[in-house]
Amino acid sequence: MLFLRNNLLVAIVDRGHAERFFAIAKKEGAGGGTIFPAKGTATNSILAALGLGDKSKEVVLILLDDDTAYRIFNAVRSEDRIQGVLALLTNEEEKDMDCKWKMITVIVNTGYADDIMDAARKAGATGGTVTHARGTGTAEDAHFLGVTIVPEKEMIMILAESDKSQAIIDAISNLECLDEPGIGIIYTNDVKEFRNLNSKKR
Amino acid sequence: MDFVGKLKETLYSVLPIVGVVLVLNFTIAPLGESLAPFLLGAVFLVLGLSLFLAGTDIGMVPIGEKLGYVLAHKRSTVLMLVIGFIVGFCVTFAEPDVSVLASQVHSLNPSINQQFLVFMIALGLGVFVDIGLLRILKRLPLKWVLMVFYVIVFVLVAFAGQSMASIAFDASGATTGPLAVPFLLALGLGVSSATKDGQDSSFGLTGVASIGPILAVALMAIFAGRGGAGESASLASGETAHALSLWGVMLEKIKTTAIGFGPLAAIIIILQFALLHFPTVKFRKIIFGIVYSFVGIVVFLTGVDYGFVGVGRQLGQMISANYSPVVVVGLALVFGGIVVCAEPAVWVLKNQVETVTAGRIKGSLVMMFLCIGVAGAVALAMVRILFEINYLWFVFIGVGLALVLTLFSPPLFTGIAFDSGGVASGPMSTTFLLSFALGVSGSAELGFGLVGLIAISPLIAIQILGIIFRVKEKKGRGSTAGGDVPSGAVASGAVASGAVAAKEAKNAVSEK
Repeated sequence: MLFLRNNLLVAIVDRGHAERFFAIAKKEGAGGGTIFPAKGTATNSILAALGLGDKSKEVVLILLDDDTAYRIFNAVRSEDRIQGVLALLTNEEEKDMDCKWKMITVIVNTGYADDIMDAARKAGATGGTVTHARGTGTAEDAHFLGVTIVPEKEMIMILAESDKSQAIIDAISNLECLDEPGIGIIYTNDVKEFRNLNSKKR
Repeated sequence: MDFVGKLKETLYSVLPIVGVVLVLNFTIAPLGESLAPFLLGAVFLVLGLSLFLAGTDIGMVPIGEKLGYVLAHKRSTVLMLVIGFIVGFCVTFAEPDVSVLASQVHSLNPSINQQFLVFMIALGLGVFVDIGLLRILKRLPLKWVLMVFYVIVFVLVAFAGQSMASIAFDASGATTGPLAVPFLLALGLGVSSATKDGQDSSFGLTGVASIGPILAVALMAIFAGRGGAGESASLASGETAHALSLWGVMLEKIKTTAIGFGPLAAIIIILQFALLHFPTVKFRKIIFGIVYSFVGIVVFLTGVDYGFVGVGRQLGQMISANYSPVVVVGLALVFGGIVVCAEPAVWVLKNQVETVTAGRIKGSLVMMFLCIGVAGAVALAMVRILFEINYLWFVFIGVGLALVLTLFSPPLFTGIAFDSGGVASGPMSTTFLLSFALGVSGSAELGFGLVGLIAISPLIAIQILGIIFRVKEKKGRGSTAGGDVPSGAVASGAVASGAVAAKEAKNAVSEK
């Protein structure tokens, strides 16, 4: 294999489960990882409409090679104390690879996540994960009383089946409130492997 | 946020008190027929508080954040100050802790107009939100701002007399309640997070804002005369709540809460169309959040009035009448310790300190300090009531000590400490502990001031922690490094972790 670590493992787990997950990953040979807090949006559209059902989540990012990734996927199979999903993103150019899942990522100015998730859900998405971020800003950054103001961003990750992903992207792109130049970006990654952790309790 | 999670948190904060009351009921202080309303009240309290907190998370917090951000972008200081004032003012009207306090004040001292008291508290908060925002923008050191205004507070409070002083400090502790704090934190964060370099200055807005109510109430006392305080108003007026049915209490609460929420709702709708422009789905969610908050407050206040306040007073009266002061003070220590561990916001603070110090100061140490601090504050409040000591002494010494500590504590800790003054005095202390103290004292002259004392204790405890942290840091770097390097390291560490900590704080506080 030419690249040793060409996969990005994204684990989205309940708040407080990230360390537990990382301990397993480490035992299977993962090097280091990055953990950040996020918010899981409601999977149920009625709860979403009522504004309830959002959950605190943590996202774990680990760069690793194929072997380690599959060892981790095997190891978590017997683990029932972690709630969440596991997705292996890849940048490998394998044309014959038939990815059943895609990861859609949207980065927009803050405040639009609920509308984006609403549109995505109508187009067939089952849920999404939102985290806060900050833009790097540009030369036209506003200055106010001597302080530089940079835009607050929201990053939304949606795991969706490949055949629905285009519809979801279209639905998001056509949102009226996003009809403004420079408001954000959207991109997808192929998901090589996907697993629901502890799905029996879902 | 998920309602179930909130329910669990609130349950943890209310259950210990219910437990102690039950133990007392079966041992030294049988409650008789008020036990059933108390338990029902506790259920209402838990349900109401959970719903309210879930509502703030999806309603007030995003508004505060976006508002801070938009205001920073508009680049108009005047607009920022006008909006900061109006929103701070309206939030106070809707704040449940304030209405609980105001109605307790009124029930013991009818000469004080309940609406006017709330109005003054709101006015004070609004003005000092502006002062706090200006401080962030002008980057004035927090400690000097605090010093100047607390000196003014001391002078005014000395003129206002101790009974009004105690109400003034209670008002300050109550204002920084569950509705205002997430909003203030979010606003401060919004203004300073939109700025690349001002992350650590985001702490302190709540601390500065909470000075306002003290000043306003003290001014009110001076100009309105001493208000003939302390007529030892009949405690019976507190008991009349029992005469009303649960439904009757609730109807009344719906009415008063609607009056409080009206201005806030109007302002939010105006802001939405004038400034905020939330997209449709988001705005719908925010409206739901505000409706949840409203229903939550109604249920919460109903529980408080129906069961909690009455039982608190009854316990205070029974125990102070039948047992020695030692028992009262001992019980106060227990209550103080339990309440502080039970306040969800305190756990937030604990995490915050851990994050900021990168684990150098253990969370358990923070809890220990706060427990001792608040237990001490509650016990001191009882000592004061029993021996009729002038409240001003406690305030002068307590706040004076806190101010002196600002000279030695790292600035970040000073910010966290003054912000968290209101953290320790949450809904449990304004409802249960305050009424317990009122029961013990039996008069308006001495009963108030407890919430204020509880709010002062974290100022001291957290700053001492800050000093410990600084000393540890110094040791860690070796003695050759000299005095300036470690403190610089603390400062830069603080800046680096400021963003994370602030975010964390906001999330956590909103989760409270």
